[in-house]
Amino acid sequence: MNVSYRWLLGMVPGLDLKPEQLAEHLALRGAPVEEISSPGAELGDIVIGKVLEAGQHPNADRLSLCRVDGGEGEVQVVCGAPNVKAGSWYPFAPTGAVLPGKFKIKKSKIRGEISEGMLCSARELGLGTEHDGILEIEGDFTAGESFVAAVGLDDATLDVEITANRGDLLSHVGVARELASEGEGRVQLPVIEGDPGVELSFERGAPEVRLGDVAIRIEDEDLCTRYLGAVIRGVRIAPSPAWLQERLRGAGARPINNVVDATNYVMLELGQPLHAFDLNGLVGTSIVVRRVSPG
Amino acid sequence: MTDQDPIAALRALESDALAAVEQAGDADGLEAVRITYLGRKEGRISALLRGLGGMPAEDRPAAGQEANRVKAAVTEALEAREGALLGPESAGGEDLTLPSRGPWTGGLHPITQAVDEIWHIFRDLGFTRARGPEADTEWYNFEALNTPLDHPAADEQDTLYLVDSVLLRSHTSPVQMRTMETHEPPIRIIAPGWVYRRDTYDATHTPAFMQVEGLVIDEGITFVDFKATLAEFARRYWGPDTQTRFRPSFFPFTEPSAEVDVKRVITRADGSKEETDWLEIMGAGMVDPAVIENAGYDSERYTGFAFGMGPARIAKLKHGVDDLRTFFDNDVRFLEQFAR
Repeated sequence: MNVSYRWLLGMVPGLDLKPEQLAEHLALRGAPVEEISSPGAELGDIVIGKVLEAGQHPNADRLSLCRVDGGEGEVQVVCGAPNVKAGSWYPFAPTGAVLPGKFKIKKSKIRGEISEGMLCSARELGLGTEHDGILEIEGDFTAGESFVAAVGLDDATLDVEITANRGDLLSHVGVARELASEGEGRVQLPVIEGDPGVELSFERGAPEVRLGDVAIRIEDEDLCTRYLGAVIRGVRIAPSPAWLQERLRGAGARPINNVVDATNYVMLELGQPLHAFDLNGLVGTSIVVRRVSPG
Repeated sequence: MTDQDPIAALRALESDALAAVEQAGDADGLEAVRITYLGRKEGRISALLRGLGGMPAEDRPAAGQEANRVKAAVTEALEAREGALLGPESAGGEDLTLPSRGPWTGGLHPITQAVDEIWHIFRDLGFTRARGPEADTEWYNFEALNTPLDHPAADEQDTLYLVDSVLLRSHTSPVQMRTMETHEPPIRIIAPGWVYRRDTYDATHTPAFMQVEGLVIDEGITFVDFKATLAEFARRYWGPDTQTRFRPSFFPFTEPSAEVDVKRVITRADGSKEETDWLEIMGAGMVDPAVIENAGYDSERYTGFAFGMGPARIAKLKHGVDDLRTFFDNDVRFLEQFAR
């Protein structure tokens, strides 16, 4: 179980332990920490850079020639991304910076123009698969400030080994409770704000329940006593907000999109596994809960 | 070359050469004979061999064979004569006054030594030694030890099965059950032995390794007996200043379970003392009542504790060995450092 140190601190206000001390406490509670890592470990050289000007490269159609403020004066940078625009903030690797994979940025000449540094995509930073353009960062920053701190990658991820008798520790709330039970602060459970405007209805002992166009059936009731489902309409698939992405990365998960991230977030927070189906793919079919058939 | 039959010429050369070898009176004379007949450039036999190339093809094999025979015979005679001339009494480089080599004695393998040291400490604490088969059944390896076959610990991926429900034991704990079945409490046993798992052979894993199992069953055995016994073992093994720490853990066959760490005090060359980090040395716990019942004992009457440790890991810590595989490479230069 990967635990985000920052997420845990948010749940146990007053917890005054560094990640290493926390690991020691957990080990003595029967949940040893195998490794402490940081999602931003390899990105220490990356700063927040502002593109001041973005113009056409004189000798290449697909390249831009940019003036970038990386905190140490303006430099000229050649950029191949289609989405670079003046006035925006991007992760910037100045000359001498080392990217994941031991890739060192050198001052170079690209198609006859000097380039001193690189504006980075999510993939180049090991933060995702997105490589269609550079990673634009929303917000207000100071040129040259640490990228890792600015986007919340300065978290610590604790790889906690959880034994078979401690399923209750398989969530951030569970680990927070364990620490609090030792007198280390009090657990503040997440507050679910607002009324979701959903009416829940329960059917007990029914052989099959219909949820709109989808049927739900439990065949092995000895293993599954309750199945909950809900239909959410009007969903637009998009990237998750930055705070959610930060938490997932801190807990060793990779952000995908708002729907997948929401299910993973709830599972990591509360320990409740859940899955989002595309309703279009389920119409006219059934969700059946049973043991796997042989073969 | 003359028209003379090459085979006859070879035989004549052979007898000349053998006679010359016999007449040679010292090493220099013998070397002169060797050069005369077998010398690479001017040697008479060598010259004759080179001449074979000009012979009719049908005669060549027979002549070649004969030439090689003669060459071998002369070489052998040269070596024999050399041996006779130099003789054992001549200064041949050997010092005959040296004492003979002593018999080459073996030594105990470092892991065997660790097993013995562990066993001797527990023997002094009143334990006896027990053993069980390395090929055992699912019942003894898993089910009797409160581990259902669908438990992750009983995963077939990690266990080496021989045939249906018979496997190479994945730990020495089956000896607990086998001993309880054949003995009446009180039980105090130490059971070292080989165990097998489907692990990749690397610096910290070997698919076959030694384990030392311990079991105590009697009326009134408590966690205090458990802690005190293992703390005493640690002090006897690692030194009187050794501290022990019991961390909660989980094993299906003990409840509660613990992992046992030691912190040693080492004395440096300048006499100052230094504490090591906590080192994990074994898994242990109070025997689960289900296991005691499986053995046919009354779990209301009998309680106990059990533990298991890896002597290879302990030997590794003791000798500062980084790579477990060096224990199994059978390199005598490594192993003889531990022989005693």
